[in-house]
Amino acid sequence: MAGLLESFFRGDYMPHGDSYRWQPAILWVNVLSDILIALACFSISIALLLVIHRQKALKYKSIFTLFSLFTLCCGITHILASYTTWYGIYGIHGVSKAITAAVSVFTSAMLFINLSKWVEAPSPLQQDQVTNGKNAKKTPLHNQEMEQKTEEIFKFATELLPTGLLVVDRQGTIRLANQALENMFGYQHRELINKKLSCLLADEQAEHHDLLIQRYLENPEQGYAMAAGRLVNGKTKDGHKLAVEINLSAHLFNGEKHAFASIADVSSNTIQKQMFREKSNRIKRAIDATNDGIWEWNIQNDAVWFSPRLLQMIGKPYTQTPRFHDWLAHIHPDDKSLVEQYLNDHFSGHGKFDVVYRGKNEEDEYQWMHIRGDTIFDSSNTPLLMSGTLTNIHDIKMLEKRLQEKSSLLDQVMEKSLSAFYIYNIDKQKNTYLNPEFTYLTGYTLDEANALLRHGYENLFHPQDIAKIQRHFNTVINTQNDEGVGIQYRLKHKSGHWIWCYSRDSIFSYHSNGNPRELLGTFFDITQLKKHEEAIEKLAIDFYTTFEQAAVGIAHVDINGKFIKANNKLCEILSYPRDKLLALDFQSITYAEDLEKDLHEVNQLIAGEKEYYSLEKRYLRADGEIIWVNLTVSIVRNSDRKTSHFISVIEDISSRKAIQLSLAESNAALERFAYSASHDLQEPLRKISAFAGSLEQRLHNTLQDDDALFELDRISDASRRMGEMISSLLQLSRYSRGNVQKQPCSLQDLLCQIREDLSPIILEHAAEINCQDDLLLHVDTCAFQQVLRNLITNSIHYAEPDRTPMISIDGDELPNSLKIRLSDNGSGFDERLSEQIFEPFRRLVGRDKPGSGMGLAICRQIINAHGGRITAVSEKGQGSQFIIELPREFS
Amino acid sequence: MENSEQTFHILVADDDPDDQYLIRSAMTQTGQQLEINCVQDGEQTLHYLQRLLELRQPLPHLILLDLNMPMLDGIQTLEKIKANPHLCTIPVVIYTTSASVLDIHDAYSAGANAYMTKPLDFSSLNQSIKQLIFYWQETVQHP
Repeated sequence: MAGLLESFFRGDYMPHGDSYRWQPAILWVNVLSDILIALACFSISIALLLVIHRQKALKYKSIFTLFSLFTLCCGITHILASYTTWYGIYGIHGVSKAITAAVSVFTSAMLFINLSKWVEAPSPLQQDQVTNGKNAKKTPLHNQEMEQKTEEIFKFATELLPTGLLVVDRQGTIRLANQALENMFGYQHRELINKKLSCLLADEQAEHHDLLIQRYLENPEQGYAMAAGRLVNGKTKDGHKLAVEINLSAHLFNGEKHAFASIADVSSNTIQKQMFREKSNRIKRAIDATNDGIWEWNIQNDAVWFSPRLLQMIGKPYTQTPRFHDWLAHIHPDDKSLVEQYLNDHFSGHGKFDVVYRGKNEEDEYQWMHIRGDTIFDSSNTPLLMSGTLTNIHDIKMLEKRLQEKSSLLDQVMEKSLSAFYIYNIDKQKNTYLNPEFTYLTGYTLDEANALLRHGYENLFHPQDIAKIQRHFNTVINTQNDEGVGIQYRLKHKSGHWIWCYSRDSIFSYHSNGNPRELLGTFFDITQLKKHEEAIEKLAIDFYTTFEQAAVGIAHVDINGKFIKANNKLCEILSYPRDKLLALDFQSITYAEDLEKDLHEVNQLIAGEKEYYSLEKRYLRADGEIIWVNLTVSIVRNSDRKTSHFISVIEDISSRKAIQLSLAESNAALERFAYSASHDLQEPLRKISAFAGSLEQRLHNTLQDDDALFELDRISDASRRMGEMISSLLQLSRYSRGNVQKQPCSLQDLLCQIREDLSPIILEHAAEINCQDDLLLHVDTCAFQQVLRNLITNSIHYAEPDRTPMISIDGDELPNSLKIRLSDNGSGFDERLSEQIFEPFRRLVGRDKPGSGMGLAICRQIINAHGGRITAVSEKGQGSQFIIELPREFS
Repeated sequence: MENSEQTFHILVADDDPDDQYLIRSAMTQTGQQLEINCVQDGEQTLHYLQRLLELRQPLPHLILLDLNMPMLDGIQTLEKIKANPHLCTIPVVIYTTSASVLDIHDAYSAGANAYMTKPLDFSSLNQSIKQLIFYWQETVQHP
């Protein structure tokens, strides 16, 4: 094996030159041919590699590579062949041939394997070549002639066209120009071919126009500014300016993009002028119609063109020759630097110029504007021409702002609301939003609430409420309107206690198929409310119990007297079943004699003169009996002070009344007894007195016994005092019957009469009686005079010996009573005895003072009979004060 | 006759014998010439007067009439006396223990010529009877 390998790399075989017998002609023909073949092969191989390398989009790259490799191998083999002419390295030459053979066989195999595929789907370029090749082979001769003729006719027609035609390649080199164009610009026939396009353009446009062409060719859009007719300043051969209109289209020709332009001289040609006018009118109409302003700015010479709308927008509608500065001036000072910054960025970064700023409008108001533009740059990135639009976006901006405000307001509302909010995603079965109040009320954050929900509703809601909540959930989902559905349920607070919620839920968003997607829920913590509710319920029960189980009759009566509510006890008192009673009014069951008094009180309640009244009255029971009751009625008013209803409390007092009646009867009997007793007592007393007197007189002259006379005198005196006492008792019993005849009289008149009656005693004691006030009294004149007489007499009798009796009387009108105060400067009495002094036969002094001890008792009796009261206060030695209070009479 | 003519006739109608005694006693003490007749009640009073009329006896010069009497009381008796044309001119003095305003009013309405309350003590009784006798004696006998 080692021997075989060695034989391959030995060079001591006979050189090939020996085969040529070193004949120079044969030798060199072979050698040079081999070398040339090798060089050709190498160059082909390199060319193929270059094609593969350059043409990234090349199809069938592998076969090209194989071809390249194959030719390379061929070249190497040929080089080695020429080398073997002088040196016999046939082993190496053989290896080279073998490699070449392998590559060529493989390439050939690959070629045939893929041949059908390549033939069926040739590349466009290959197709062209194939087609051309076919045509060249198949087309008859006259066809070629025809084609040539057609081409000539086309060329001729091109030359005849009145419009200038120009074809420019990517480099801006003119490849074709027809005669019309040559004439237009004053050039000789074919003189323009291969010249640069810039030679046809005015100097100031030449450079950026080239760029325009290039841009257009890269992206030949019909919307591009040049494509649909652009007015350009051309330059004739002799340097004159020429206004031309250019229409562009781009086409691939011989695999390269070319710009095809038709050019019309708008300065001389009237038809063209008209066309141009039409075109420019069309553009003008478009510009006029659009609400946007359109602008163009030649950055190099600072000339601008603004559409009328733009001029209007920047508040300079009548400016004939606008300047760039006019636009700058309309920008709000605060935004100017921003806009300039954007402009600079645009010029340096080549991005689109797009900025929103505030600009002054025609009405001198700053409004939101949106300017957009793009710039053409030259090869050194110097901006040349800029154009674009200006849009008034004030309304949109305002809408945006309002929307922003609203959504910010909404955010604020959600965040700061006193009610909890949540958004629940139905598909995901979890909340996607909770506001802070939710967390505040329940203690849960969003994650915590969702974690609980994941493990089932019972973690969050009260077991008794879950069924209700599920029903509610279905109702919300199936409810068409979005008014929301309310529910009350218990929710477990994070700390474990239950809180009552009032929740209102509605669909927040829908899927595109109309199914609900999210719920929006709000809720309040109504735990306190619930507690109040329960308290109120309890109160209501308490009230009901109190009402029904009260030991007195209670009724609610409406303003017309109809019973609205009546408790059991009342039904019992009146012996009516409840339903019958509630169909009646109080008037119909009131005893006729008592009705007027009752109605009078009711009217006073309604008139607001009092808040309640009490009276004793009789009702007619269902069983026909008359029953005495004590009725207390209070009035219930609405918030507007109108009468709502009355509350009547009715107490059965028939037994009390019976006792009262028997008491009254026994009192009356007692009074009658007292009267007749005292009257009848007077009779024998008078006899004792008279006979004692008679006896005294009879014996006076005959009997000389002084003791007997003294004793007779004592009998007389005792009987006289007893007579006084009896007459006092008679007075007392007379007034205790309450039979006072009230009539109006004035206090001063009464006192006047008393002064006269008592004048002897007043004079005797030089007493002073003062009264400044006057009152209108409703009293029994005689009886009341006696009261005052008794009191004044007492004051004089019980005056301090060394003091002039001074008696002052004053009167006061109080809301419900009259007060008369009688003060003296007498000896007074022990305060502890202030009640006892009104008892009958009570005397605080000895026998040396006159009086029966009945005076104050009679006073009290008379005042009581008037429905008033009399009291006394005193300080021993400082005088006494007697106070009489009488009820006021409302007539 | 002279004597008889000077005698002053008084009829006392009182159911109380004690009062009759005391009145008679007081009248006697006046020292005047009096003829005092006493009856117990109204019936008797009218009966006595009727008999005098029937017998054509002289009528009393003065009648003292108590109010509280059994059978026919003072007021009724007074009314009947004043209703009788033969008797109506006789002065009638109501002499009673009652000081009731009602009684006083009724008495004067029925035609009483005077109304006097019986005093409690004897001296006052004496005095009042004395005044009464003197006044009416003078009025009747020397009009």
